[in-house]
Amino acid sequence: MRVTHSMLSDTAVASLMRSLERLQHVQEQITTGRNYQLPSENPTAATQIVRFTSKVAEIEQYRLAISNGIAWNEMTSTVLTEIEDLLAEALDVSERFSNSAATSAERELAAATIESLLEELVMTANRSFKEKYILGGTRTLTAPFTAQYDGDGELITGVSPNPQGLTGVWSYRVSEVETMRMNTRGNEVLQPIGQGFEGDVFKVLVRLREAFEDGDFDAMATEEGELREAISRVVAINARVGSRVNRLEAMDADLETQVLTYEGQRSELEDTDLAEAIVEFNTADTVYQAALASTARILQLSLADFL
Amino acid sequence: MGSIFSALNIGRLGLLAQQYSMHVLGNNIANVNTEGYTRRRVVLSPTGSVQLGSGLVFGTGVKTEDIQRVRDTFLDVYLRNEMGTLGMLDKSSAAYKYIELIFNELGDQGRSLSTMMSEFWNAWETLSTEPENTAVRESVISSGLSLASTFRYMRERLDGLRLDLNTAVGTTVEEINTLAAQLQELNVQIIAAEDEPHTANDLRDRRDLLVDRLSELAAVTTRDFGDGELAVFINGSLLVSGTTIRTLETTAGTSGMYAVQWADTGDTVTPSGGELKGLMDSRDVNVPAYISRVDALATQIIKEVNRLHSGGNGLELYEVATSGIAVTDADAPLDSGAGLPFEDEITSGGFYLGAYTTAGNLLLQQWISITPGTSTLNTVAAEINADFLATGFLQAYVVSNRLMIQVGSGAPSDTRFSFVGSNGTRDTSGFLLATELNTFFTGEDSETINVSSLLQNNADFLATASSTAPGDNAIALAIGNLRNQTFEIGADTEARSFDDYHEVTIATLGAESARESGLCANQENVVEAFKQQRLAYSGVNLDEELTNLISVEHAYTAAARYISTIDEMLETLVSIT
Repeated sequence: MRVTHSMLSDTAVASLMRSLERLQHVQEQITTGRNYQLPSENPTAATQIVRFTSKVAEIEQYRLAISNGIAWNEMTSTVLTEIEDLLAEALDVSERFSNSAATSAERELAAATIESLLEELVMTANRSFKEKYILGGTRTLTAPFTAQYDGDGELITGVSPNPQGLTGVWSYRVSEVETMRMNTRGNEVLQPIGQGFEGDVFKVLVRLREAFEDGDFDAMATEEGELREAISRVVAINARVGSRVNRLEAMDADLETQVLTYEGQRSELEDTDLAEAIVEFNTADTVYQAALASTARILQLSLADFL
Repeated sequence: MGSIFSALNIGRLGLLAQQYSMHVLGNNIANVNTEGYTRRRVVLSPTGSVQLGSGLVFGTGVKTEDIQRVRDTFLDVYLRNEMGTLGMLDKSSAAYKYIELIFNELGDQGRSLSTMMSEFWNAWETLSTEPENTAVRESVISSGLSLASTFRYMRERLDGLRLDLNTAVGTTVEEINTLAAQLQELNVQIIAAEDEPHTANDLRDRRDLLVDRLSELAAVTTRDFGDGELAVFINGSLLVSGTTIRTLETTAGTSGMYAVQWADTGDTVTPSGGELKGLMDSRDVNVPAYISRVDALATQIIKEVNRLHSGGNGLELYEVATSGIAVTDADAPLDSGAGLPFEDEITSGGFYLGAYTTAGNLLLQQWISITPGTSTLNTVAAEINADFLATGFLQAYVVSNRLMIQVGSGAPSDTRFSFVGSNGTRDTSGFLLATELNTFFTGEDSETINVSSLLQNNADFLATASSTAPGDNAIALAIGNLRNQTFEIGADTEARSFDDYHEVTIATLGAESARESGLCANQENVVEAFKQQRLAYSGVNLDEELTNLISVEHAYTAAARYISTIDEMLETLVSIT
C-alpha cells in the first residue's frame, strides 16, 4: 500500500487522541470516584445505581420512622409503668387499711393518700412527648383528661376525657408494605367502655376514697377488685407496647441489613476501584508515551535528510 | 534519418518535458499539506515518428500529453455515502449526550430528578411521624418546591436543546445553500475552462472538497456528466446541475420549529442522512420523546398527590378558598368545554363540604354532587349556596371564572370549613383535583408544576389528616406511600411506580445514547479507513516526489548533455566547411 505523509500525520494524530481519551477517561474515574459519568457508559449499571440509591434513601426513611416510633412507644411504656405503680400503690394502701383493725385516723390518711395518687394519675395520664399528648389519640394537641372538682375545689369528683374523643389511631409506615399503629389510646387504658367492666379507673379511685371517708368496708372490697382488674389491664397494654418496641427493633435490624446490601451493590457498581483504576491509568500513560515517542520518530524521517 | 536540426529539436523537447515534470513535482511538494489536493502526474508520450526514404522509422522526441489528477472516483462515492451517515450519527449522538447531561442521573446527584422525588416522598413520611410540627411542614413545602423546580428546569433545558437544534437546522440549511451556490459557480467555470482532454485540476479539487462537505451535511448523491458538469441531488431531488441551482428554505413549522422545503416547489425536504437529518431527527423525535416522558411523570405526580391532598385537612381549616384554575366558561360542563386541563378526571360522584368550628367540631356537612355533562362551575356554586342557605354558614361565588367559597357573613366568627367528610370521606368526583381546590401542586405538567401559593405562605394548610384532629396523619401517610403505588403513566400500558417509570426512562436513554455513540464511533472508523484509502491513492508522498525529482533532474541533465553533444557535432561540421 502506498503511504503518504498526510496519512502518517492523520494516523498519528488519531492514535494520539485515542490514547489521550483513554487516559482522560481513567483520570475522570479517579478524580470523581465514580465509574460512570453518563448512563450511556453502562445503561444497566446506571439504572441499578439509581434504583439502589433511591432504595437506600427510602429504607433510611423507614428507619427514621422506626426510631421515632421506638422513642414514642418507650415513652408510652414509661407512662404506663408509672400508671401501674400508682394504681398498685393505691391498692396497697387500700389493702392495708380496709379492715376493722385500722383506726379512723388511719382511714382518713388512706383517703388523703388515694386523693393525691388520683391527682398524680391525672397528671401522668396527661403527659406529653415532643409536645404531643401521649394518651390523646389523634387529638395530640389537647390534654386528654380534665379533672372535675367538688364545690370547694379540693377533691376530684371525676375525670372527663377530651370531648372530641381519644379514639383516634395513628400509624407510621415502617416498611414498603407495612404500617404499624404507634399510639395507645387513653380511653383504652383508663376509661374503657363496654368491656364487662365498670370502666373508669379515675371513678374507681374516687369511690375508693369515698369508701375510706365513709368507712364502708364492703365498698372498699368491691373497689379493690376493680383496681386489680384495672392494673392487669394496664399491665397487658404495657406488654403490648413493649412487644411493639421489640418488633420495631427487629425490623430496624432487618432494614439495616438491607441498607448494607443495597449500599454494597451500589458501591460495587458506582464507586471507582482505585487500585484497579491506578493500574489502568499507568497502562494508559505508558501507551500514550510510547505513541508520542514513535510519532515523533516517524514524523521526523524524510528522504531529504539523505540526499 | 532526419536532419541534425531535428536531432537538436529532440533535445529541446526533452528539456521542455523534464521542465514541465519538474514544475508539476514542485507543485505536488508545495501542496503536500493542502486539504483536498490531489497529486498530479505528468503523462509523457513520444511525439509522432517519421519514416525516411530508407524506410526506417525515427522518433521525434517527447511531448507532455496531460497533467492528470490521481483520483479514484468510486472511492469518492463510497466515502461520501459513509460521510453522510457519519454526519447524521454525529449530530444525533451529540444530542443524546446533552439529554443525558440534562438528566444528570449519575453526575453530582444533588439535582437529579430521582433524588428530588426520593426527598419529596421522604419529607411526607417524616411529616407523617410529626404532623403537628410546623418545621417539618415547611420542609415538605420546600422539598415540593425543589421537586417542582427540578421538573421545570429539566423541561426548560430540554426545550432549550430543541431550540438549539432548530437553530442548527437553520444554519445547516444556509450552509447547504452557500455550498450549492459555490458548486454551481465552479461547474460553470470548469465547463468554460476545460478543453478536452485537459481538465481544470484545481477547480475540480475545490469542487470535490465542496461535495465532500455537502455529503456530510445532507447525504447528497452526485452524477458526473463527463463534460465537466457535476449534478448534485438531495434524496433524489436535484440541488445543482451545470447551470441551474435550487435553494432550500426554512419556514416556521409546528411549534416554532423550522420546516425545510424547496424554495421553488415548496416540497418538503427529507434528507436521507447527513447532519441535517441527525439534527432534525433529534429535534423532532429523540428530544420530544424524553420531554413527553418527563411531562407524563410530572402530570401523574401532580394528579396523585393532589387527589389525596384535596381530601385532607391541615392544622387550620379554611375561612376562604378559591380554585386555582379559572374555567373558560362557567356555564360549560366541567368535564368538557370548561377548559380544565384535568377535565378527564371528573367522574360521577361528589364531596362533603363541612362547616366546622375552629376547634374542629362539625357544625353541618353537605354532600355536593357532581354529574359529568351537567355540573358546571355555576351549578356547583348554586348547590353550595342552596345547601347552606338555611344556616348561612357558607357562601359560594364564581369570581372571574373561579369558584370562591367562604364563611357566610352571618355565621359565627369561629366558623371554618373543610372538604373532607366527618368520617374521612374524600372527594370521589375529581372536582377538587380538576379545579385546584385544596391541592398541593398547581399546574399540569413539567413546564407548569409548582407548589400552591397558599401552602407556600402558610404550611398549616398542608393536608395531613382525614379528620380535624391534629395528630391524624392518614393523608400524609398515604401521600408518602404513593412511591410504592403503581400507575399507568403517560402512554405506558404497564403500571409502574414513579421510580420505576423514571428508571425505564434512564435505561432507555442510556441504551439509546450508547447505541448511537457506538454506531458513531464505528462509522468514524469506516470513514477514517476510506479517507486513508483515498489519501493513499491521491495524497502526496514526499519521498516519492524526491525520488522523482532526482530522476527528472538526471533526465534534464542528460537532455542538456545531448544538446551540447549535437552542438559539438554541428561545430565539427561547420569547422570542416
